[in-house]
Amino acid sequence: MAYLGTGALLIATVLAVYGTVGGVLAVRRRDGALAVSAQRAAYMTVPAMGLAVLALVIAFIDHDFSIRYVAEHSNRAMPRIYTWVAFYAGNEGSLLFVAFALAAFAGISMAMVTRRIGSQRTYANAVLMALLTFFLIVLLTLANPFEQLAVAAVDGQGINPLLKHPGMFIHPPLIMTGLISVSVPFALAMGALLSGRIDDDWVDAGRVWGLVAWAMLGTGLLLGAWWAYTILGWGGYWAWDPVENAALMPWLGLTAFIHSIMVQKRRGMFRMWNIALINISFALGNFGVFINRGGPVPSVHSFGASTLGWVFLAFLGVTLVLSFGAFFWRMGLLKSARPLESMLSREASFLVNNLLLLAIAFITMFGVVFPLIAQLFVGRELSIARPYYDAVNGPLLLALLALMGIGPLLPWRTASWAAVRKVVVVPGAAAGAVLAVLLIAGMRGVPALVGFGVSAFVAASVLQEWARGTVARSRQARVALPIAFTQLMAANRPRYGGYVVHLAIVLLAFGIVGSSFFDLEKDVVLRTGERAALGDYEVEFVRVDTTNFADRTERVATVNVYRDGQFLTSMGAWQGFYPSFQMISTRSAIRSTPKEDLYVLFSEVQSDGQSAVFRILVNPLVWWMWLSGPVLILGTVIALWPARERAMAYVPSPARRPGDPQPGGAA
Amino acid sequence: MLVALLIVALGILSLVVVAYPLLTSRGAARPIDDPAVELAQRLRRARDRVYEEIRALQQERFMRDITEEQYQEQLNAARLRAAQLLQEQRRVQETIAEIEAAVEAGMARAERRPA
Repeated sequence: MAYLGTGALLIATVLAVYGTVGGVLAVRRRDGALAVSAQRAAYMTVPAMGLAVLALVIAFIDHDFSIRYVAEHSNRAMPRIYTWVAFYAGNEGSLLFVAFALAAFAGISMAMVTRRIGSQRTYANAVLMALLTFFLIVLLTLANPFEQLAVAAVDGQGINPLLKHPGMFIHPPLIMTGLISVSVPFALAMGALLSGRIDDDWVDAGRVWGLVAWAMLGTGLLLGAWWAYTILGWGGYWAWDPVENAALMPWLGLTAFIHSIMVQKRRGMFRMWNIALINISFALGNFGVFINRGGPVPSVHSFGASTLGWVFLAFLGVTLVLSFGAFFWRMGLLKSARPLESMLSREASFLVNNLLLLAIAFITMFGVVFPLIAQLFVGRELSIARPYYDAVNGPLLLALLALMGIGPLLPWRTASWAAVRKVVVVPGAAAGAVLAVLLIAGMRGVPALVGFGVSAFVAASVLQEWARGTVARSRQARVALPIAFTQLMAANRPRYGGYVVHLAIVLLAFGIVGSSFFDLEKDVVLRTGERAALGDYEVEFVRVDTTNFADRTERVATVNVYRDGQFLTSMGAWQGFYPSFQMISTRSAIRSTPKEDLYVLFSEVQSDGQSAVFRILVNPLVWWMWLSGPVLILGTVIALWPARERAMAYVPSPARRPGDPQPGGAA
Repeated sequence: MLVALLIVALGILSLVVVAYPLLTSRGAARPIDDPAVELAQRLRRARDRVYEEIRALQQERFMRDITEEQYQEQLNAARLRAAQLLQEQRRVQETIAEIEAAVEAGMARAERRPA
């Protein structure tokens, strides 16, 4: 398998180099045949990389411990189902996965962009192949997953216990593919810059691929939060850890991009902004790969030391210089078709949205690089912890949330204050009602009140938009409200899919505010049969069962849960000791409801053998955070769903009045 | 043996797929950027964008997001742009047709001329 894998990687490298050089030469010589040939080289990297991936998977399944990577990340006791997780448990496998994902994205995106062979597409293809060449050279020279041991091991070391979690089947691949898929909109933008065809041609494909990358990163981040919540055993889901931040930063950049690109699509504005935003997002994605795979800062997500940091740092530097070099070279051609007419318009709200998102991304970046800077200049290991992020990013995130409620209510071009007042009445009243209820219920914390109030405002603004649109369409087309709602969603998928995503963000904010400001926590030592009270709950320690396995010793602490004196449920908090890793892994016992989570973490059995140490938490509204994931995916699918081609738009005569019936019900 | 065969097969397949466009006359004749086609397509996309803008304007009007006055003003501007684009598109099509006719006529003359 080692020869097959390495052979496939070599063929992929030759194809990627040919795709890069051939693409550039094709445009310079205006040679269409060479352009097609370079394009096909990109397509052929997909089966070549697929074969390399298959070779490593088979090596894991066959327990081929002559391959170093297989010996270091699996053993015979490992359940076969974890083969996929073991595949990317280390640097070499992760990089192979990233390179395969990049080849696949390059092939799919270039096949989808357009059938026409133009210089824009040829350059975009060359950029993607150049990026793939970098990863393949790293794989072949510095991190070869098919490197063989001098003497094959009898058994492997096994998989890192922290990775034995359902979330690990999807979370790392989504984060890795999300980070690398930013390459596609970046390559499309570079194709436009390098070919000098700075019209809006790349905008549609750029939006679609930006949205794909954004959704993958967003879902990956949520799954990562779920993994941290259930396995890391500290009761939280987000610690502003460097690796978490590394995926968050490009996601923020992409969030700005997918909003801003709509302005270019609709109004021909923000051309410069959009190229800059995708360059920044790509650089942040590379920075994420540097943090993830280079391992320069300590993280709870780091599963192995790496010496690849300098390679990724150099890659980041080179791509940053080249991409912004191309940007400044073509800056003169990136003028907006129209000026910003008013600060009270949807375009302006998108601009402020961009600025806020970038501010949050760069504040987060400062927190990530601070330990490196401190090490370099002070010679000491210093790091920035959660209070910094909460204090600085908290208000900005709240402002962003508020803007999410106001922005979509504003019309394009310009709006009057009277019109704005009119559309914010309902959401404002909803927010006021929520605040009143919370104040009457006894809530006094200002940040939480503001958080809930703003969330209510955004949710009400989305619902208001749907209601207004549905009623208008129902009257116009004379159809029932449910049909009108379906037609409304189908008529403008990017807009209404975006509103579904906004609702997902509201759910997320709702969960974050609830669990951040109203969580309860208690560390207790309980003897058998003893109870501890927290909030409305009482937790009774029943027993600890110990079971020995080939690779671990498992202990399960059973607890009974009571509320108001009534038995509610019995739960098992799990702990496993892995001697080969000298590591303890935990699985908290969680009783999750829409109102709150009861979270019980089993730490240790005391020396008397009769009492055990527990951490008990009550985390309100966390359930809503996990619900936001499927809603976010649904919204993205709606926004991405291709619209049917319409040959012509119906343009009513100026004499027609609002509300008049129109032929065909077009709107 | 099987491994070697797989690698050789992948190598040969890649070579054939990549080299094919360079070896066929159809591939060699393919232009990379045809200015006339590019221009026609750019005009069509610009026209589509104006239509999309008009649809969105209608939506905003129905939602009462804009006043009737704003709607008329923006609609007239969009219509003017659409008309200009249609005119330009027609001019480009006519020019392309004229050039093609001239080329064909030239070729026909050359064929009739005695060797």
